[in-house]
Amino acid sequence: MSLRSPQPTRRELLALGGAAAGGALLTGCGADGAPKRDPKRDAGLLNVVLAYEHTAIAAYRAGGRFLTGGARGLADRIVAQERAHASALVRTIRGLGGRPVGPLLADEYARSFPRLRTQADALRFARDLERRIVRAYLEALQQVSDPRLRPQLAAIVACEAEHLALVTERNGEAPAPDAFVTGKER
Amino acid sequence: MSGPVGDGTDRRELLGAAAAAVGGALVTASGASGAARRDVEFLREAVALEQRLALAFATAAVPRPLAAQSRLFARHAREHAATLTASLRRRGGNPTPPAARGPRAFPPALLRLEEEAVGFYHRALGELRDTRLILFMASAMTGHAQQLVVLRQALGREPLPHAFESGRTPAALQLG
Repeated sequence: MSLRSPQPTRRELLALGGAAAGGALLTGCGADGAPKRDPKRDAGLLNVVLAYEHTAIAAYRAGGRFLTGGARGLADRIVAQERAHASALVRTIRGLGGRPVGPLLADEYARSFPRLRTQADALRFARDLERRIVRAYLEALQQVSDPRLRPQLAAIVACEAEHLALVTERNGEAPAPDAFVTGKER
Repeated sequence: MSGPVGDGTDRRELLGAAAAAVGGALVTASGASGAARRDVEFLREAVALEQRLALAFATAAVPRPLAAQSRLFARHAREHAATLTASLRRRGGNPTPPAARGPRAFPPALLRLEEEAVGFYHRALGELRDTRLILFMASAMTGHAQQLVVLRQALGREPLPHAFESGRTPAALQLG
């Protein structure tokens, strides 16, 4: 029975039986007081961050031609890690019975990206995107119903915060200016 | 005196179901309070960790280029500790008083402490129940991850060694 379903009838209550089930129904929670797990919804939340990973890979590809030296090396390193995140998310979404979203076409990304002409443009875009990615992961962390998904999301968002520090530094700004990194613009 | 009530359900069955539901609610309430207690334990451990970091960065023996960052990171740790302490007190807990002094930390020890902080929050995030605490501890963890990058660079190490940053298990938690 879904938590969003209307009030159960007495007959349904009886059919459920069992102390734990009755308690869960009354409170909308599992026996440990945690929200009921909803794999379909969780797969949807993971698909949101997976779409961000695809966008990041496309963005670094688009900006990569303006990057040189250390900035280029950093972008390559970040893209390799974003790919690892995407692969892991695909596996998890499939494990939840969901269907992972794929990347858009390069043209579709290009239409939504700002116009990039210089290395500075590319790095600013990368910084803004990394901020959004951090925010998206923090939201997913809060919203997933299954706590077993959180360690993976936590390990990825920590890595994304590191990306943000390094591209921010490449923009000539302090890499770790805030105690709490929420992905919001400073 | 059992007979059909309303929709044909036996009264004895209804009473049994009601008792089962109440029992379930008690089980749930007890589980919930256990989870809330666990949240408080994590908060207490987090405060102690942040206090340790604040002291270590404030008194660290670091080369001049890292001195300003070290002071900034001490301030960050104090901010974390203050907010965590407020959350802990709101939940009826009390923090352990901070140590007044400790050994002066060199950059490799600071790096290890930051890895422990990321490791602690990573572990806590898998177990916390309160979603406000999840957001708060996750954004403290991302702050520590950025500090890790600064320290790794200062030590001439690869700043992005892992695609999945889960830090290091704090020494005090290794047996947990």
